[in-house]
Amino acid sequence: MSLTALIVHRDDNVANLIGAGKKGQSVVCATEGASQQLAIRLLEDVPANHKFAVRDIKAGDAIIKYGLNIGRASCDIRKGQYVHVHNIESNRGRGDLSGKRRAAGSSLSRRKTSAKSKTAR
Amino acid sequence: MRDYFYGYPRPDGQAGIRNYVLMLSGTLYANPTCERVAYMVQNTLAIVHPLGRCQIAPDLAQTKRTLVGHGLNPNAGAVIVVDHFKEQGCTADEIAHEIARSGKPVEVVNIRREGGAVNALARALRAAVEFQRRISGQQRERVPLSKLIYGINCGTSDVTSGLSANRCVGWVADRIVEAGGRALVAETTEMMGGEALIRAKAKTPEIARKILDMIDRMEQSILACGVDMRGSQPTGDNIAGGLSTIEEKAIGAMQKWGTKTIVGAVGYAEPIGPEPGVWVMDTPGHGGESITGICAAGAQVMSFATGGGHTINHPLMITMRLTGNRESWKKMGDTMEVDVSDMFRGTSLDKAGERLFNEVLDICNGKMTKAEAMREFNGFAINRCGPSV
Repeated sequence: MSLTALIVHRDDNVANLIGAGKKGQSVVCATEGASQQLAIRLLEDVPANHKFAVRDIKAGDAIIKYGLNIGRASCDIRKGQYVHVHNIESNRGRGDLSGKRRAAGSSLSRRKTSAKSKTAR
Repeated sequence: MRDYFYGYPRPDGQAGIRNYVLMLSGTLYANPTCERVAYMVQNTLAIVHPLGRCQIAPDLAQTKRTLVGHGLNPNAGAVIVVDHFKEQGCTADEIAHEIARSGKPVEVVNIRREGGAVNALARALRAAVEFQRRISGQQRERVPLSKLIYGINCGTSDVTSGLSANRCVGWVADRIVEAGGRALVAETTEMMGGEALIRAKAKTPEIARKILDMIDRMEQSILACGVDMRGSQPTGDNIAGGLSTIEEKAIGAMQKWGTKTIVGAVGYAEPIGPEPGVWVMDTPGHGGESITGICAAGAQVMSFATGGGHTINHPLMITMRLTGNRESWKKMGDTMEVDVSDMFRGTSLDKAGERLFNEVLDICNGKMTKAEAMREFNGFAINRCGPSV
């Protein structure tokens, strides 16, 4: 029996599996609000409900879910590969990154003026 | 769809869904008095905490505001404030004075003034018994749903949360706002990445700016720590549940906000305005601190959406919990009231949302949550904004 997965928004490049998946299994991906379905073969095991790529994604590319940017790829990810903390990272709250790299992140650049302020409140 | 519930009208126009005598501790050292009386007297709740002393002024003001907010919450029919000597800026007299403006019965017990712990206990016990005699005969009355402040929160989220349970909460929020009520959301950390949604839904650019500034302050305080917050946000259990980044968690969390207009934003434990719609409070993602801030603003009931399962609930703001994760429901079912995991097997959002709505209204009318039945209260925690000194 084939697995099913949910793509929340048509712009998304990841889907959430419904249930758990094994490498080689075929997944039917339904996009919310759209009738067409997409069939994808898993290249790796995917734990219950976790994400996998529905398109090839290049290192540094935005990961899109809900039609919005939820982070960036830390390496190339192929369609059907498991997507989680091992291959994507956050753009936000990254005190570990240098100031230069932080300022370069698109979502953070507008914050440069207030970046000197210490703790909140 | 019901547009009313049966509650306890209060002199200040609010309506409670419970009718507790509240034992409100002003300071750490008054906690045992409050706990003992709550143990001895039926339908009496203790609110206890480690604060109220040696806090710098803004932090102490936040503690006091939180305590006053709990006294003012309409689920308290009468309040007894206990302190041990004199907590400058947060005395029981000062707390009680602000609560008394609501018109509900308020009493103060000061341990030193009473001549020690034994006398103070006797006095507080007598006051609680008298208050029960005064308020316990009050009957529930039909009140419009517009009187409801619907508290909204989530925790131990996983990838199912943003796709199921949080959406159901948003659906209920929409119905309550349509009936003239207010939905109160929080958890500023869990707005990082959802700025586009805030800009799109805020009633005015000024309201959007205020919320974006809250998020910015939160993010700057995290950056100042010099670490990747992953592991703390998203938490270890979020990551185990498949949430990879704070942005993914945040956008999923904001599904709880529903589709209605954001009409205002307030600071931690501050009261919200009268306008129907979605209100946003500046709180950390920490569950206990967040829901305590929401209770202080007057929310009578809360829906707490979880993925992995969660024991959290607030003693005074009645907290019903739900999950869209079937495995969690099986494992942690005695900590949750509603299962919406059938959304992954074809049940529509309308159907699942209506199920949640009915449970929320039943709970408003007096149906106990599992935590109430077990007296398993754990979610009272006051947020700090300064050091102990």
